[in-house]
Amino acid sequence: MKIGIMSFAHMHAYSYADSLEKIPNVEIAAIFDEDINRGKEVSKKYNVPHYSSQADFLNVSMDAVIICSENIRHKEMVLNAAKAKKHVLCEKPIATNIKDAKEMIEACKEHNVTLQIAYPVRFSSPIQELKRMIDKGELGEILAFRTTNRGQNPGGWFIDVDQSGGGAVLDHTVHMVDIMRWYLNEEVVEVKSYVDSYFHNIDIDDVGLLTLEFANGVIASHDASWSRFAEYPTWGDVTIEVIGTKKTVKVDAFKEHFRVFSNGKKSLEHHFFGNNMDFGLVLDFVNCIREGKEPSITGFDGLKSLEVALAAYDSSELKEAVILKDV
Amino acid sequence: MIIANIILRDIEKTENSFTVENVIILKSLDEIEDNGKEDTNYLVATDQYVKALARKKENIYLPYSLLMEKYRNEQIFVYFELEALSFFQSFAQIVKNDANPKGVFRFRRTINRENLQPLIAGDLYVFSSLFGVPKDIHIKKTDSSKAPRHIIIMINFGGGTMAHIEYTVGDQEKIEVEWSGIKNIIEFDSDQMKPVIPNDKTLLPLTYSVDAILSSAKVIDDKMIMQIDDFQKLLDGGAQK
Repeated sequence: MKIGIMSFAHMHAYSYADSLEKIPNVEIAAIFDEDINRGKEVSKKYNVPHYSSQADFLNVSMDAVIICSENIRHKEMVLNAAKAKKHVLCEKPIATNIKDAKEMIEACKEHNVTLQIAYPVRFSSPIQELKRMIDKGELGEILAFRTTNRGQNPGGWFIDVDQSGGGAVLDHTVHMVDIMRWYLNEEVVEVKSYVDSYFHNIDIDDVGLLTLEFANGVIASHDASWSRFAEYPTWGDVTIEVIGTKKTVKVDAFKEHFRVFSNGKKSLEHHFFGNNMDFGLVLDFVNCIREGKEPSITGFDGLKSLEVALAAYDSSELKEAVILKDV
Repeated sequence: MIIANIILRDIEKTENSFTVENVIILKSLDEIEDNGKEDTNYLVATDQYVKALARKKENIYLPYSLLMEKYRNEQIFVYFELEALSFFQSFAQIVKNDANPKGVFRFRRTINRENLQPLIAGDLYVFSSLFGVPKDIHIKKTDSSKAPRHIIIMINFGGGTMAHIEYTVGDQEKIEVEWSGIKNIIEFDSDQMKPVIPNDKTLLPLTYSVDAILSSAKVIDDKMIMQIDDFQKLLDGGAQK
């Protein structure tokens, strides 16, 4: 199977490319990147041709593409890839607005290609273990969630709203909303939030708290921020606590680490040794294409989690809870 | 002249070993003869509070959550259990060291108590003392007919601090605190900080001293009562401020 990568603007592209190299009978067919220097660099690193024209890149014989561009360009690239009959794995968030997300889903449907959204957290071993416990009924009825996704300020285009569509709240809400939806099989119907910029003196949000309610009455708290700084022992976190009628279980996706103390820049550093969730995501995408299966994480999943993140901005702006209707 | 103190407290949680105060532990207030001894602190269980309030001979120290409507005009010292806990005193001091604290505060308390509201209202009063008067409060509760009950309180204190304060009714008491400030992150989980292993018996680190009760207690005043009543009303209605 041949897979191309469209843009290395998002840092996950490197991890996805590394993952592709590990999968038997899969090869990176080509790379498209309008940033010529970056394109040449990754072309050399992965020993694959680089194209700076999307049309030329999409003429290359390949089965699928992975899109890791700036958020604002996801739509354009997904539409072009779909027209060229390439299956798509698109970095999250699916888009920067609902209209674009719907158009992308429709285009992939029309051209009969797969659209999968890159939510690697679904492939974290402890996150999957908790999913199995929930599905077996070990937690009983779910009553509430507590989630966090904090990290460092990624800088660059991430903090330019014209390219990213939003800051920490968009970046770090969609993952955990996706996991809660996945665990619960219900949609969020109410979002109340505070969104602000505290940590980096930047013109985009770097902090947000959300309180959510799902259609079946389950409530949730979520902390999304770029509050972690370089000296903190790790890049950030992904945690979820599920409060059930039979049992409450907490999962920390990066808990599997050992502590390293030194007299360097960080006196304490966490070295993670758990499973590589990016590899799990890419392998799943490849298997879905190979077997012609419905993707594990659909465009609709991307749309519904985006909807919650965008509602958080609206709620903060309006200073009231936002009620979500069926999209 | 009132010279003695009667301190109503949770027997299990109060640490008396290292106090500089003169402490006498009583099973019942009936053991005190007349006005009690000079400069003495009589420790009794909280279930003696009606008797203690009726005596009117000593200073009375009681946890806020026990304060009854009809005794609000008495000269009573109230203490907030949270403020007496040594971990919270240290935490508050670090936050106060910053003249203008800015960040995200997350607090979670798991506690085996049916009536959570007085405890929550008291905690909210303590947080307001630290971060300022809330500008906006949003409250969500799980269906009260289902266990365990869980409450999410989201607060915008304005001035650069927002918070999620959460309570779960559970068998084992537990407190988790996180402060994500500017280049300053504080993390505390009472379960992870238990200094005795196996830790199913120890109450540490959620114990407090007689000294901490005496130093953190306050005479109740109208402002305090009004503020706490406001929190109670919000909790009663599950509404937004």
